[in-house]
Amino acid sequence: MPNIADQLDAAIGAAPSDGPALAPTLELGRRAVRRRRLAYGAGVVATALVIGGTAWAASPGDTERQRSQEPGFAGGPTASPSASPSDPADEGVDSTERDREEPWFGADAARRGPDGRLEIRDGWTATRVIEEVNGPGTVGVEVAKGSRLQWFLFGHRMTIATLRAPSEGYSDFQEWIDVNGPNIKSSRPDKKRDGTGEGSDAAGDWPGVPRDDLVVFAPKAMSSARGLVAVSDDVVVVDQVYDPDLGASFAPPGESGVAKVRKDGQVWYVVARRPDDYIAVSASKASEQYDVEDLADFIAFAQERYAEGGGGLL
Amino acid sequence: MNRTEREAAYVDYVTARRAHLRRVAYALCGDWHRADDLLQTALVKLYVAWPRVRRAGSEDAYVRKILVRAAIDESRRPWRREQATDDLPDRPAPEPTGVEERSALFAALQALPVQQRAAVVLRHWLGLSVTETADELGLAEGTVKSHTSRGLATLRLSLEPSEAG
Repeated sequence: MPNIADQLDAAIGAAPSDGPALAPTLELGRRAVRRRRLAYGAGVVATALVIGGTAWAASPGDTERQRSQEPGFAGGPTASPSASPSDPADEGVDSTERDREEPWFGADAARRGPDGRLEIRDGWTATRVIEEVNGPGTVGVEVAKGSRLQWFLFGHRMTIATLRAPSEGYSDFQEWIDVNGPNIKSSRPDKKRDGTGEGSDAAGDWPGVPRDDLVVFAPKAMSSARGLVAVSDDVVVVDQVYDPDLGASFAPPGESGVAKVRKDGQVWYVVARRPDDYIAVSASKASEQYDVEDLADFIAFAQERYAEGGGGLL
Repeated sequence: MNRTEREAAYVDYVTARRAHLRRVAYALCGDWHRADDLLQTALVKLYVAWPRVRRAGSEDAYVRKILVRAAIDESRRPWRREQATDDLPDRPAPEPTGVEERSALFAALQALPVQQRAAVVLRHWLGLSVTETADELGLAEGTVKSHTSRGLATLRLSLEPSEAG
């Protein structure tokens, strides 16, 4: 008798043909990557203005013409700091205030100021800026001074930096961003994502667990019963949204719900779809790993995860 | 490695492994069209994560994880569960074992709960260790052992009539 592996192999059989062409998959992949980048586009110009404006404030001897020729301003007239709302002059930053700027320590040539704006060290230039590397508020920046390069990824609370770039086997900034971008945390889940898979591609990154001891759908037979109800007396439904529109890939209209619940001192977010699928994510884990701070954040997070396919939360 | 080289490496990998990965997807979901959909989802995600995944040398494991998660997720959607149809399903080309036996085993495999099925596929078809299977399924090792034990018992039952004959 053949072993089970051989029997399974025979049972599964051979694929019926060569399968779909690879080209559409490649194009979808390229699109997914492109959407994660916003290099030299209109959106980047806005960020470049902020960076350039800050650099300009730190280099008062530069002329506007010189500034507009810096790589970070490569977009031409629209990149001129003179007419931008981001221009430091428009914000009333006078020289006295500039003098009170935090001194630079260490070798980092880029940082985020207390107000969250990017600041470039005097003498350095931002040569590449990629916005929303992994959600809102995340940005990748390459800065240069002569032949020296530094790469930065700024997120909500963390910064990833390579001060002697290229290094560690990365050939260019884009590759470094591709590899490290998924590790940077944004300030909150991106509610504007269109579900193409970018930004959440870490292997093994599924935070949910099946839980049937927290909430259940109220029986449809009950009058006006539409939401989720606690399974037992020790569960408190803190908040819930019925039919949160987590996308057609998750559930059809009227067949899903989300809730924030408390049990045994622990708080959970639960996504549910009829008839009996309940997936819970620890609120502390959601906060620490995904910057989910409330039910609205969680709904946005779940929408993103289920739109992108590949298992959603579980 | 520049972008062209990176994409070439991705294409090389996919070209070399796609047939195998299609079969993995098919084993998990039991339908070639759905298998192709699952695989495309997985390969797009692989494309995005390619530099990191390749550096780690975990291409197959990464794709399998996506396939398994997607298959489990899909199986939990009641409106996507199997429905009767008048259309004949695609059939694989020539089977090396008897059609009835093959069909019985495959049907039994597809009848397993999805996590049991995934555990059996990873552990006993692909030959992953308990630890590797647990990692890819996101389950405890004990749960994997339990799933595979029950799953194999069910599969063996499905083979009994033909073995007796």
